[in-house]
Amino acid sequence: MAVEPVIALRQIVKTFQVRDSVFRSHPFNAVDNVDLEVHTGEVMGLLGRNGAGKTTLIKMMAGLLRPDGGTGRVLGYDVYRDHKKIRASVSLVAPTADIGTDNNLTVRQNLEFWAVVYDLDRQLRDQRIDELLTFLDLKSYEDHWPISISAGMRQRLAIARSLLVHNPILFLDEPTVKLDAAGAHAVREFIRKINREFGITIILTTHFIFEAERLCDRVAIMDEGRIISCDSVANLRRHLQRYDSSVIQCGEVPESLRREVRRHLGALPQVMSCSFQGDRAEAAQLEISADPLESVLFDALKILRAHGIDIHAVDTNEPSLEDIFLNTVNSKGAS
Amino acid sequence: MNRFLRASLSFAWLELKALRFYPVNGALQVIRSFVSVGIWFFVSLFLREFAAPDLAEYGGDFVAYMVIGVLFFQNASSILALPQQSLTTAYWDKRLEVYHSRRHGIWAFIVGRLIWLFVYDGVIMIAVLAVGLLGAGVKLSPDMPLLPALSFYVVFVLTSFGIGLIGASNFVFLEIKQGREPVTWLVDVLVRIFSGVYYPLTIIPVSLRWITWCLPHTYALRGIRLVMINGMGFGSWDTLSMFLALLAFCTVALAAGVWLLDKGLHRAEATNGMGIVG
Repeated sequence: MAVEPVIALRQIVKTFQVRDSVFRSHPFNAVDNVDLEVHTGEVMGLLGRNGAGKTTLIKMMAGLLRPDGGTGRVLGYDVYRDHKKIRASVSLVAPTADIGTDNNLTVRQNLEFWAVVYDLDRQLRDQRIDELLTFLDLKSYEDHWPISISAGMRQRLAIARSLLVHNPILFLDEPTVKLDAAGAHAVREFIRKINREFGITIILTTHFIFEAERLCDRVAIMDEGRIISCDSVANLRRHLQRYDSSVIQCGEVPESLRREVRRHLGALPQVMSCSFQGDRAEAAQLEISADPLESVLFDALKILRAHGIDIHAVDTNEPSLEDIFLNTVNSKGAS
Repeated sequence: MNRFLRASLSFAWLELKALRFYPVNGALQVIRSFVSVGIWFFVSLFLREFAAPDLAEYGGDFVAYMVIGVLFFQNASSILALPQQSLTTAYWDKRLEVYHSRRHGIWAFIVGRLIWLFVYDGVIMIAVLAVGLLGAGVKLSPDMPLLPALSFYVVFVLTSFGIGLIGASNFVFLEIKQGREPVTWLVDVLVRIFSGVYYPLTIIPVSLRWITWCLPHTYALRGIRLVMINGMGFGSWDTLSMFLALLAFCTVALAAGVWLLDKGLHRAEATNGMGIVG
C-alpha cells in the first residue's frame, strides 16, 4: 500500500450555532482540533458515539462544510478555497440508503439520472451502469422500483450511484445502519471488494465496532469532537495491553519440569513473564506474557514439545476493538 | 454550460416521471387552473359593463383583461415560489446535501424544476386560453404578434424566477426551512393589490400608485395585455417601453438572485451546512 496522504487535516475545528429560540443560539463544538491523515487505498474507520463529530468531519472532508479553523487538504485541494473541486472529486454515501434515491425511477433509471448529473459520456453511461449493476448484484433488480426492493438492495443502489464516477475517495456514512444482518454483511463485502478492485480510498463512519475491525486498516476513535486515538486495530490493542499474553493448556507437567521450562522460556528476550497455573500436575496451564507475543509463541511451543509436554490448546487474550473503544473513550485517549 | 443544461434537463425529467407516476396530481393542477381562472372569468362577466369605461385602452373588454391577468399572475406566482419551495422540499427529503455534493447540483435542480414548470404551466396556460377563446368567448386580438407575446412571457418568467431566487437565499440567511419566506410573500401580496391583476390601475389611489410602478408585474401584465388584447407589437412605444422596463427588472432580479443564493449556499457551507443531520 502506498503511503501518500490523500487527506491531511491539521487542527480542524467546526462549531455549529444551535438555535434555542428565534433570538438566541449557542455554539456547539462539533469537531475540535482534529488531526488526521488518510493514505491512498486505505480503509479508514471513524468510530464514535452519536454526536461524536464523525459525520461533521466527513462532511468537511467531502467539501460540504467548511471548517472554522485549522488547515486541511483533500486530494491536494484546500478545504477552504477548493471545496467545489473537492466535491467534484469525491463520492459520498449518506447514512440512509433512501437519500438521493428517487422512488419514481426504477433502479436503472436512478443510475441513468445520476449518470447525467455526474456528466458521464453517453457511450460510457450504459457500460458503467451495466458494470455496476452486475458488480453489486443488482442486475436482476434493474427494472424494480426502489421502494419494492430491500433496504440492503437500496443501500447497494446508493453505493452504485456513488461509484458511477470513479472518484479516488469514497465516504460512507454509517453504510450498514438500518440493514439486517444479511444486508449489512453483503454491504461490508462490497466495501471490501470496491477497495480491493478499484483501489478506492474509503473513509467510513460506523457505530459497529466489529464492522470497523473487519473492514478498516486504521480506525480513529472520536469523542466530543476530538480524535482521541488513531491507529491500526493491532496497534490500538498493543496500546491497551502492554504485553500480549497467551494461556497454553498442557498435559501433565511435574514440578521439576515446570522449573526447567520456565528457565528456558525466561531466556527468550521477548518474554516478560511466564508461570504455570493449576495445582493438578496432570493438567497444567502455562501463562506467557510477551511483547510481541506472535514472535515468541512458536518458540514456546517448541520448548514445551522438546520437554515432552502435551499441548492441548493455545488461547490468546487479545482485547477486542470494543474493549479498546470503551477503554479509549473512558480514559479519553490517555492509554 | 452544456453539462449544466444536461443536468438541469435530467432534473426536469425527474418531474415528468413523478407526474407519470402520479397523474392525478397533474390532472388536479389543470383543474385548479381552470377553476381559479373560471371564477374570475364569471366575476368579470358580471362586472363587464360596469368596468368598461375604465378599460378603454384595452377596448373596454374586462373579461379578456381579467383572464389574461389571472392566468399570467398565477404562472408568475408559481415561479416566484419555486426556488424556495425546491430548497425546502429537497431539504426535508434529505436530498439537498446529495444534490450539493455535485458541483452545480443545487442550481441544476432548481433550473431543472423551472424548465419543467415553464413547459408544464405553459401547456396548461395554452389549454386555458384555448378554452377561453373557443368555448367562453374571450376576445383576443386576431393580429396578436407572437414574438412580442412570447418575449414578454419568457422575460416575465425569468423576472419572477430572479425574485424567487432572492427570496430563496433566505433559506440560509433567515434559516427559513419551511413554508413561505418574506420576500416572495411580500411581492406576491403587493402584486395582488397594486399591479392590476384583477382591476385597472386607475382605481388605485394616486398617492399609492408609485408602488404599482415598483413592481415588475405591472409592466409585464400591461405589456402582455397590449400585445394580446390590442395586438400591439414592439413597433408601439407603449409596448416597447413596458418590455424594456421589464427587461431591466429581469436583469437586476436575476443577477441579484443568482448572486444572493450563491452567497447563501456558501454561507451554508461555512455555517450549519445543508443537511438535516448535523
